[in-house]
Amino acid sequence: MAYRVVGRSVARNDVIDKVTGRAKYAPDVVIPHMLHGKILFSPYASARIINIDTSLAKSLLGVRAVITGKDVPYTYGSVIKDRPIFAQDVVRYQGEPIVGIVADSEVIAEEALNLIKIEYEEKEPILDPFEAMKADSSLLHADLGSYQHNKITYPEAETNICSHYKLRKGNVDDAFEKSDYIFEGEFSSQMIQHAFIEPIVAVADADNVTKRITIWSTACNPFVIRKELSSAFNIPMGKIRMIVNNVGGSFGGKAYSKIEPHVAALSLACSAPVRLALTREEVFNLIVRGPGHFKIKTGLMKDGTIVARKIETVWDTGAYAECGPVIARNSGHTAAGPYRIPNVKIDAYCVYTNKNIAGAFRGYGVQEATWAVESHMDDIAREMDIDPYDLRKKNILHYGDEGATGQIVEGTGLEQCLDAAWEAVNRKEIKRKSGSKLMGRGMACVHKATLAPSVSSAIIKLSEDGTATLLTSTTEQGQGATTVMAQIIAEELGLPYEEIYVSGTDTDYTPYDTTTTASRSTFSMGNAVLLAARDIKEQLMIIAAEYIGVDKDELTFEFGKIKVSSQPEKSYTIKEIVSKYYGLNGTLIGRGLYRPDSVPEDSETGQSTKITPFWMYGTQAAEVEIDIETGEINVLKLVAAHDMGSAINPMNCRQQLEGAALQGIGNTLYEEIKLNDKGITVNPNFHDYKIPTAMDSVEIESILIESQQKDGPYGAKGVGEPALAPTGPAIRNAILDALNIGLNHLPLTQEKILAAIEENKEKLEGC
Amino acid sequence: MLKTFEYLQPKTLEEALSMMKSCKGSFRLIAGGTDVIVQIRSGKTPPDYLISLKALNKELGILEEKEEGLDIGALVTHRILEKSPTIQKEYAALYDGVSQVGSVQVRNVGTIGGNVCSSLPSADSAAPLLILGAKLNIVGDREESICIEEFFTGPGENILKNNQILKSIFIPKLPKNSNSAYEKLGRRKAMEIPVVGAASYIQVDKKTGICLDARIALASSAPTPIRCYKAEQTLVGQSAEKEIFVKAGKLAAQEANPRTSFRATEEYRRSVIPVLVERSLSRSLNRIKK
Amino acid sequence: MKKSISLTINGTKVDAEVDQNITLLSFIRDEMGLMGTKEGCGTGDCGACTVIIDGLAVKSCIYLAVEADGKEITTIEGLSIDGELHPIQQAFVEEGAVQCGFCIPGTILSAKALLDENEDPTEEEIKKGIAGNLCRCTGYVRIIKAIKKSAKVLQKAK
Repeated sequence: MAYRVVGRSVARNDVIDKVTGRAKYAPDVVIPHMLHGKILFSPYASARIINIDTSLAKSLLGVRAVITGKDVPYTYGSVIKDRPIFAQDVVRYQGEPIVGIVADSEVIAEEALNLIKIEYEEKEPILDPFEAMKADSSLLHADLGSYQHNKITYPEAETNICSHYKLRKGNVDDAFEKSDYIFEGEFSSQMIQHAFIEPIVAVADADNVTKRITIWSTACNPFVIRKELSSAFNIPMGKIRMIVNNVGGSFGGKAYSKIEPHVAALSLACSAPVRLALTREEVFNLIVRGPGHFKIKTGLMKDGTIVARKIETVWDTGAYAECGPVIARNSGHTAAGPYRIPNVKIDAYCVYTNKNIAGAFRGYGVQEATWAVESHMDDIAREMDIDPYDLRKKNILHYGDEGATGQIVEGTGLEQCLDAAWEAVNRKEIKRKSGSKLMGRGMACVHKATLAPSVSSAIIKLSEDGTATLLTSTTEQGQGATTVMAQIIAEELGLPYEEIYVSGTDTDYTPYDTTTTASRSTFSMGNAVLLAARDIKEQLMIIAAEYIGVDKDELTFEFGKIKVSSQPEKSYTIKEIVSKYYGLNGTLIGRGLYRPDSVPEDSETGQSTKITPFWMYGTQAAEVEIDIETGEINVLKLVAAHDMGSAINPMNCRQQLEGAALQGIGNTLYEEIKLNDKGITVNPNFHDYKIPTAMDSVEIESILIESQQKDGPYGAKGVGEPALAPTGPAIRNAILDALNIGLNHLPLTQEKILAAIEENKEKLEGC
Repeated sequence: MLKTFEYLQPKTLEEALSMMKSCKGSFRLIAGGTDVIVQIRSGKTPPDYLISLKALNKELGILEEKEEGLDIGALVTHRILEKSPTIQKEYAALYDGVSQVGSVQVRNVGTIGGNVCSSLPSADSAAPLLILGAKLNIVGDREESICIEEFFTGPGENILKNNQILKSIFIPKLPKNSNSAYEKLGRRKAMEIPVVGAASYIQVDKKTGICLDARIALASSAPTPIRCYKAEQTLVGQSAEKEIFVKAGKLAAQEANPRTSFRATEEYRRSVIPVLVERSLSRSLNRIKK
Repeated sequence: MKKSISLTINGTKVDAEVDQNITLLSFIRDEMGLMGTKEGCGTGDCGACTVIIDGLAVKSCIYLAVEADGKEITTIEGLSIDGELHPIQQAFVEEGAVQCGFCIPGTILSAKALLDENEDPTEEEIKKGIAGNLCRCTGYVRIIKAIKKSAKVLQKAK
């Protein structure tokens, strides 16, 4: 079916504001008479607080409030409620908030900070998750067993294991017995950071008498945060108002409460508006993607058929759970790879340590699991002397197959992605060797679930001039959601795309949306918006029938025009109908509520007939060259083929693939948050935490596969996250192809590559 | 907003020198400020006074080509050097170095004097200046000229006293059949300090191809930028070709004293120094041939 | 202590009394209310605060406001004139070079400074010209295309 607006690369509806500098972000919010907050963060990774003396700070001119854990003895956390707003006697990681200050200016607040005297009893931090898992390890959270937690978290009381997720399918032990070949591998992924360019900033305006709190922040799931605040402060949700305009990049790093509880506490303490802006260093210490460790064992038959896979993963989640347990669980959905394997056993342990807190990062659990399983696939292929493409092709999930979680595959896009990416990277012959440089090619596949259950709701206001405004709580973080939503309305109602306006998020006015994460917006909010547009259409038909004086059944709606079957020559515009109906002024209000289908998992086996409303699929292929004298690596080309169901805005889709691909190159080659032996970050800045610059950009070919998601709006599903995950293993497998050396531990620095070359000189012969 | 300090802006070099003497409390000189502001912001050593040299452009900001060589005022920015055709053609190693400092925005403001006076072992201008035979013109109670080799004393440390200012840098004209190059290895391709940097200068007899003179210097390979004298000596009198360059590289690695930091290990730096030295020498030679 | 400075911002002459210890970025945002110039790191690394001072792209977070005395400054707000986008802005729109947008004002100003001195840059020169402007969303692919395109448009207009 041909669409007029959907499927076209219309210019994003936020782009003019962004190129002119008019777009407003949370750091740009200014409230008259706003005060400034500052937080004193722990300099130790593990300590007991003996005494806090704030008297000097309090007496400094210009200081309005000084608060500690004693003033706000509340905890928060959606997944596990384990986290104090300000430390309660115990410090569990460097960067733990201990004291909050409000002053007339940032400089005074900082001065006051230096006047606070804290006596700590420093303790040896637990930095190794494997040590933390041992029975005799000291406990970060002695009360883990009594903490509130959500239904998909499986804490083990009296241990540091805050969740143990299990997936059981078939019988792996029997299957290994019968396998012709068994391969094992160990892999790890490092601690990295999102490095969004907009720092984390929040402004709160709260009143201590009415307990009304308004917060402007960089959050990407304001309703989740509203709930966390409501529970922590014991204030009804309706009294908490979250406002989010443009977000300057998130990649999951601005999901869940970040500094919102702190800024709320500070504002409540002085009943005045307070701005809390973190420095880049503080942002680096606030949230990271935690390290992951993987052990994989695979059984195959002689012909390359995979019959069993067993995986054990350990997730180093840091001092508090954040969404770590969900990361561990979600990795389980992906870890077996997008392959047809009848026997799968997965154990994922999410473990507390005295490290930086691990949170969501663009396809959480999936990036890391994909790194391990897709690297392992190429190792198997090499050992068995099968082409890695053939090994994947043989085992890949097809329509009707049952995946590891027990869900039947409904789409067909994966195989198309595999073929398209591999064809694109092999279009030209490569020179395998040139001077000190060796070249190679590699690939990796990905499959990813989205969030379930979840809810999206939308309201469309149709004005009397025929223009429409969408009220939605999907936050615009750069992914282009507001554009896609406007395209859906324009298509469904036949209105000009340019005349659809999309609101920012304001929980007082815009309706509920679970979260802008998990690549769920196009599908979930898209469906809600579509329903709201249809609701408008339905109302239009009723009033049109009344206005024209015919029966409603005689009317048809054709791209913005209402036609009457008995008067084929005539048609009525939306504007005409609405303005005539109301006489003077008025709006129609359309409502849409969408709750995608899903079935909860069995807590012992992880099995569900529908763990996720849809699966995302993709394949990436890389061509690399390695300088064997220095270990330097150049990615010459990267191909990203992904199934997006259908591309509502092809340019937006390509933006997602290109951006994720280069982010993946950074994650793979240069990026790592380094801690010293005391657990303190040594590189919390943009010169030593290295993200790719324009000079590091590479040729990226994006390929859009459109398999038509049957229940997606216009056949669409998500595309935001999956392109990050396969980048790493594709590069790693290209190195394997070039050097005959498999590198299993991220990041793949030049130093690591050179060391591996020197250790494996004999393997290079013949390359 | 930064920590409080008093900002002083002398109009002449003389005034600057007398301010430095009369300052009651700690002070720092600021030229481009690309290092100083960041350090003040980090709050480690907030000085009482910032003495800005920005108004001294007439005395310290001149890039002048003379018969005997090039005079570079300490306030000349990396960007001006990078765009100078003379530097590009005749002092190629310096071009290689200054064109890779930070980013355009930093090079537009950051000065060669600042880069030298920050005296970091990783300074991109230092190794090129070392192999180009640079002399530093220092003013204080009196004016003196010293070889750059004598300047650096440790990481972030140099011989400048509290009453001295680096006024200019002089680079002698290179003889015929000579050229220079600087090779930098970083983790990414821009906005980077070197894991190792290697600068080289060679002069060859065009007829015989024999190396008549050679200088090699390294960045991020010791507590200060260093010359590698043994490596240089091994080249002189030999036919300038890859084989001897490789040997020089190995000797340079022996002369180096790199350290392990979170940026790179000592072992890695040691193993890439020979490669970079050889590549730098080869590039210098190619430039002569061109 | 305050110092008086006199400068031109986006063609308008400004006299101001500024604290000695504030950066140009803070002056532009907090005193002048020009919020298009962004702060991403405060350490001169990300380039979101890039402005043009006397024709040169500069990171305003590591530049003291007092040192802007006598200078001519262009911020992103000074680029579009009479409701018309500057050709670089227009090319960023057309090529899809924008995602979250936080780095974009700085990147556009770096691009302007580059094209003002080099009207026909190579791809390598473009990359080098904006290497000090970190972008985490786009992979730079479309930003580079947009700068190439605007170079052509600007050349034609000459």
